[in-house]
Amino acid sequence: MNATGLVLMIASNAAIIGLVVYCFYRVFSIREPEKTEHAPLDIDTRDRD
Amino acid sequence: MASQADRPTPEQWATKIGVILAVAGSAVGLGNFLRFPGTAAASGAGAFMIPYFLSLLLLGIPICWVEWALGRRGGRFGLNSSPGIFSVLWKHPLSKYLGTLGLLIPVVIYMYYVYIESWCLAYAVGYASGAFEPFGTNPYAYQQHFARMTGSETNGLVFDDNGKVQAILFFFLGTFATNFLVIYRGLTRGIETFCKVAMPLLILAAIVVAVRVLTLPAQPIPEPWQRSLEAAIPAPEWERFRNDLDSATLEPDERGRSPVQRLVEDEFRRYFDALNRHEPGYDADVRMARPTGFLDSPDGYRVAVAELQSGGAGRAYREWIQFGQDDLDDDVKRELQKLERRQLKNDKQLAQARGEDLRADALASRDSLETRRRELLAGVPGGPMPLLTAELIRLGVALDRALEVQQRSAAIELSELQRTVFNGLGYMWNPDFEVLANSDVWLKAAGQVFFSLSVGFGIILNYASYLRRKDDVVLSGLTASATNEFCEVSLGGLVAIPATFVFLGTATTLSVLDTQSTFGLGFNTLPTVFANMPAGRWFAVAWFSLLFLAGITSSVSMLQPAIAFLEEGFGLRRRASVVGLGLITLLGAIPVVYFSKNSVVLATLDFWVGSFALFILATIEVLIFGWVLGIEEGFDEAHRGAQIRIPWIYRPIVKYVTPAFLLTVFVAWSWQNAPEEIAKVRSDRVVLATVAGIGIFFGFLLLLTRLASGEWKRKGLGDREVGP
Repeated sequence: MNATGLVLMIASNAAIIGLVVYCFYRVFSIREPEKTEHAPLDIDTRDRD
Repeated sequence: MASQADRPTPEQWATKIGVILAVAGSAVGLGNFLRFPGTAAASGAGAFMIPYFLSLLLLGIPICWVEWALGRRGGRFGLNSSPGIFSVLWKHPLSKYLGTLGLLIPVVIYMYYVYIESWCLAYAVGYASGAFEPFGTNPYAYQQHFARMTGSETNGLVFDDNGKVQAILFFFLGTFATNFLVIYRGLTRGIETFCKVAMPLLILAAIVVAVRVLTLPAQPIPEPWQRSLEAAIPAPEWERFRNDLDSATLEPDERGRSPVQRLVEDEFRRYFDALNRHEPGYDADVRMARPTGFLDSPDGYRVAVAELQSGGAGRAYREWIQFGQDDLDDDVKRELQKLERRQLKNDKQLAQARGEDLRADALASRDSLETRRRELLAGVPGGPMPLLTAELIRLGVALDRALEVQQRSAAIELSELQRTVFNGLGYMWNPDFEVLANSDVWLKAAGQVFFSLSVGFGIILNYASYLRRKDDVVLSGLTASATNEFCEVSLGGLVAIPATFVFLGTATTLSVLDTQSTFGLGFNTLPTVFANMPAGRWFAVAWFSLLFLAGITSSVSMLQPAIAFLEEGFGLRRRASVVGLGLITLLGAIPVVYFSKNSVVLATLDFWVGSFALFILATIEVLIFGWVLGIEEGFDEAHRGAQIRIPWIYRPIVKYVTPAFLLTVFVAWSWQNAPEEIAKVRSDRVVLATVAGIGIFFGFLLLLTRLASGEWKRKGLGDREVGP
């Protein structure tokens, strides 16, 4: 493999792997709303009225 | 009109990662691991990645976002099938019929894809059980096995091979049943659960095989057949073969094949038949350079016979080759290879071969090589050697001008690089920027991205319709696309071509690139590669298992749109819709399996439905998103619940660039391929019947769509938003 081929291989793989890592990082780092947010009726205010 | 309470709870994905892996699983298939490396290496290698990435950015990713957004919008109105979704997106009586393409495409592709999948399963099981052990390292044994298994030389062989059915039929039925078992279990318990297990397994297996390939040691260049065949066959047979060769002539007949060439071919056929029958005295593990490239040319046979007749003194040729390999630097060797590849291409395109000048440095190196060759030949003893000397001098003279048909293959021998993985990767990545001036390469890059991401199938449309109204589609779509690209570029690009070069050398690698046969690479070449690899049997199990998993995650996705259509359009329960679709697809798959000669039905379905119709559906989708829905509303739709935003620049891209790019590629692709396919329809009755079958089936689906639209109205689907 020549130098240009090596550069292209590294650049292409870096771009793809970088994109995959970024995407999965975002997917796993953002918690799904239904697990973290509650609608008003879901919240028990202990209000007896 | 039915009330809201009458409607069944709509199916939905259980997890976000589940839908991402399901869509990625749908996209990742055999094309990632077999079609991509062959196409890239044959189309400028590293330079191919420039149009490839541009196509990904301008075509692949935008269409993915379009399909995800449109599918989720359709699902909000309670419709999951492509005709239903289209009727929501574009309030026009024709829209649902255009959407019928989103049923036709996946169902018809399934009919042949499931058969190819079963080949992968058969190979995985074959390797695991040791059934391929007798084939040793000989490529012809694998070629013969594959031809026989698939019946590629005789129609109906799969159903009747000397009164018995071929084992592949059982693998086919098993694969078929597995697909329907997954789909029967439903969206979350079936598809999502399966993909959440299969996709990580698939990627793990691909990483294992890629690491194995990248850590392979350099391989020796094997001896040509005339020096190694003697050790592979019984002594009496070798004697008989030698006697036959002595009395045969080297002059080519009217078909360009000499009696010597035919004798050698027959001997190899006999050898592989004997291996298949496990006859004693035949050694499958003798490493030999089969007659490929120069060795398969008339000059190659002349050299071989002269070597045999001189009792081994003709080793001068091998020494000359060795000298060439030591003397030429890698840049010159690559120059020779480029010349070889161009000339192979010229041969195909022109009736008469057209010569092409070597670069000056290549010529200078060859001059010194020729001098050395003459010195070596001067020491060869008498007897039959004058023939060898005369022929090789003729060869040398021929090399001094533009290479001609019979002599050009010598360039392969001279340009043989050391068989290392690093040099093998050169075939995938060393750029040939000149090809960028060739429109065909741009077309291939766009086609590869388009087919690889499974856009235009109607599958993403269907899968996205099971999302909730505020589920993200932008990040999910990008993640699924990125996963597909990782499998294609980072894993697929590192395995097939480098491994082929390391074990089978320049001639075979160039031959693979020239034919660009996905099946040839996958089922003939790579098994030979694995046979040469230490513990190759188990890496082959991993490889074909991953191909099988890649296939099955794709094929189950092809069934879901039609299941959704039958359920929502006719009120069928899961079991009834699975049985109905099973019968329809089985009926369509039987001709694919039966008309196996040259895979004629498979190739016809792949062209007209698996390629042509895809372009049409994708174009319609992009136009609906950008022009019917409107680019502002389309982006608002895509951004609802989005966890990342689509860059602003994609608004004009999706509205103008993507449709224009798509139409250009479609027209150019049709211009290039359609005349040949139309000629086939006219000349081949099986092709004609297949195209007629596609037409009848499409008509049937249009009728069903008409009937289903009444049911949607009755249920109130499509009128207003439903579900969570």
